[in-house]
Amino acid sequence: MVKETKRMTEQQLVLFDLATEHYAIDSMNVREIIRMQSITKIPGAPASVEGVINLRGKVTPVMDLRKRLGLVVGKESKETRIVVVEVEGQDVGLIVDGVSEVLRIPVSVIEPTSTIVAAEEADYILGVAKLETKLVILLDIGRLLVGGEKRMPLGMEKAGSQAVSAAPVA
Amino acid sequence: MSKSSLTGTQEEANGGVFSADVSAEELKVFIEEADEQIALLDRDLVRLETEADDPELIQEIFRATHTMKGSSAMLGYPRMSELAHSMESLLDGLRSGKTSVSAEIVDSLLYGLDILKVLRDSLVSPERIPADIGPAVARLESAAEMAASVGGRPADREGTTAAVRRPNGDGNEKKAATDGEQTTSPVPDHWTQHIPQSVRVDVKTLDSLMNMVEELVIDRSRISQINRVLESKYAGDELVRDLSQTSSHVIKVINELQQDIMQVRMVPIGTLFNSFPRLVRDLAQRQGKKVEFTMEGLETELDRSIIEQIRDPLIHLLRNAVDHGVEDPESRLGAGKPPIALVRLSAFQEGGHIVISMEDDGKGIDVNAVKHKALAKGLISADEVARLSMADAVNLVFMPGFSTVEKATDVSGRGVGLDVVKTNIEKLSGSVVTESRPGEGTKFMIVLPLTLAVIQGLLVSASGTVYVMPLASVTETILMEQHEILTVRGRHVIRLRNNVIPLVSLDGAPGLGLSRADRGDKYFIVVARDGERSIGVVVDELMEQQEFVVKPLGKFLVDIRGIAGATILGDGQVGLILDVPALIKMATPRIE
Repeated sequence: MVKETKRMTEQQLVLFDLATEHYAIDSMNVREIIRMQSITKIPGAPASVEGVINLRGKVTPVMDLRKRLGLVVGKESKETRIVVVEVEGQDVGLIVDGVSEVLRIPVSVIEPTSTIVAAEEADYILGVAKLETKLVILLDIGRLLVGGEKRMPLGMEKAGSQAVSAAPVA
Repeated sequence: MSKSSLTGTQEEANGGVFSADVSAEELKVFIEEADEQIALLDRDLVRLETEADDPELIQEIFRATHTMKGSSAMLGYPRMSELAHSMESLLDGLRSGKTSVSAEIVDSLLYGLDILKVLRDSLVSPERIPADIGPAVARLESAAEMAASVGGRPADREGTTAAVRRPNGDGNEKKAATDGEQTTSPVPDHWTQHIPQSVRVDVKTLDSLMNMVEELVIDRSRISQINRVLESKYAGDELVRDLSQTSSHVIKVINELQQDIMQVRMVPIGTLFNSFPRLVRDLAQRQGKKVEFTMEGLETELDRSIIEQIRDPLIHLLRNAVDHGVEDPESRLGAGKPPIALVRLSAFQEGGHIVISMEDDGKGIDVNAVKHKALAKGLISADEVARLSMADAVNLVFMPGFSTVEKATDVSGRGVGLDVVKTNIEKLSGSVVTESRPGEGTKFMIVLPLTLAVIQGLLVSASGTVYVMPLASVTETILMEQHEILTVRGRHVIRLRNNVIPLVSLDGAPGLGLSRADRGDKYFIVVARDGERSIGVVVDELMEQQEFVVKPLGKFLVDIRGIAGATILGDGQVGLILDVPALIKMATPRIE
């Protein structure tokens, strides 16, 4: 029971920088944080998609979060990272200007967005966390990725796990 | 929990003993087996209508229901076993020759099968309310009574019952056949009979094996690359020679492993086709049409993932054939054709491809109507119509926005046209074409690769990105001088043996980035073909030719035109696999 209440009142966040602003996503969505690496560009992909990388044998799309959010895209630096998140069972890399910390914050310091951001942004911004030294914008990464870019087309649903015979049926 | 038994079978009593609790594993095995029997029944019950006098068929159906009855009773599913029992009783009458097959018998058996399916589904998702078997059991029983009162042809039938027993038939079968009574043993006979020569493997395990082999295949390229470098650098060194030998052995083993795992993923296409006779039957019945549906090449093997994805397009084409292709009996008689229409589905292997063809002997596609419609809908210009050959004109039906039927019916239509079929097949690196003769029928030919997991490709680079051209579509590579590149209405083309071939570049920019002529004035051009049409792809560099493991771009990057997927290269970078049919479409706008 104690644990339950704790989860209700606190949230663990991964904090990162984009241009001059501070952002955060729920650590539950984050799989790993990796250094910048060479990205294969895809002609014809949406502008915010940087390309694809090889993540341990998996072809993983990488998106520039700064472009997606309409922020200034600065030069790549030593601090630039790719935050790999999982959305709807698919890994996606997000380029950020640096990851600052992983933080547990009380839900009470999160301000609802209605008064601060525009309606269309409110769709993927969960709130603004008022920390001692900075304001951190909380992103709903699922909504940001699934709602903003092309939705999953129909006919892509995977059939459930079935079994096949390992040997040809004589 | 069960309703009172209508037939008072023994299972009901025994069920309680076995049903204490069913483990997840037991349930899984049961469901898999049930699915097999259901698929078999789906196929065979429909065949029963036309092949009523085939004793082996009746025996097979009987055995499937018997198995269902036994195993469901064993796990304590009284509704299922009771229903299967009713079906079995009816079938037993057929088998012994007491009754003969009638439309009502087949219908009631199919009805029973539908309820069995619902019951099966409710086992998997317990939130569903299990179906009431009452009406089905009652219908099966009344069908049996009705048939019994009409009477069978006992003399005729008794002669054939003996033939039912297969030469290698097992003891229980003989017992069932000679007993004359229905066997109600709660223990499924075959469970104790033999150890099967095949094992069931969860698809997830297969996929994970496949992934590991894929990684090995990537390493294989890397190893041979490093090996070549070492050999040229330290020629004659003993250690390097040893390493070479070892690595060539490792490479050989990886090759064999890859082949075997590919083989394991192959599934006979019959597993997919088996549900179609029922579909066609129901569709035809609803439309008041008479259709004889035949299937060939059920044993043709195809990669599991292709089988899964070809299902919807095939169903769409089948619906199309029954709905729009074939006529009702009156119209057929009026046209001097036999009243029963033919629909034939066949699969066979041809080289590295699988060909699936679907033919009907219906009214065919009216080419002129197709042309007019395409013109009226603005899909094509009058000029283009005039230039189209008959064969090309028929294939206009695959254009997005085209649908020959004014009013969408409940069967096909619904705003989804053949263009979706084409797109889905092209996603599988396949192609589809149609031929049609007015008044004689229509034929759809689908060509699919044997597997999607690995392709032979040519590695090229353009603007710093590495691409893979599927070798199956590459016809040649040529070196062209600047002055040989011409323009037609602003588009770059080349002339190649009397053909004018449009050029595309891979830098994603509209038009060609032909200014970057840093190789003198020469361009490497890879000529690729899809069906009748060719394009020239301008590249900076031609690299090696090898096998590539195809990886999807993931669901956030679908519909990137011109890119079919990705692959991991020997150096760990990601290479993009080109989608030649899409590139051709992009280079030749408006002509499909």
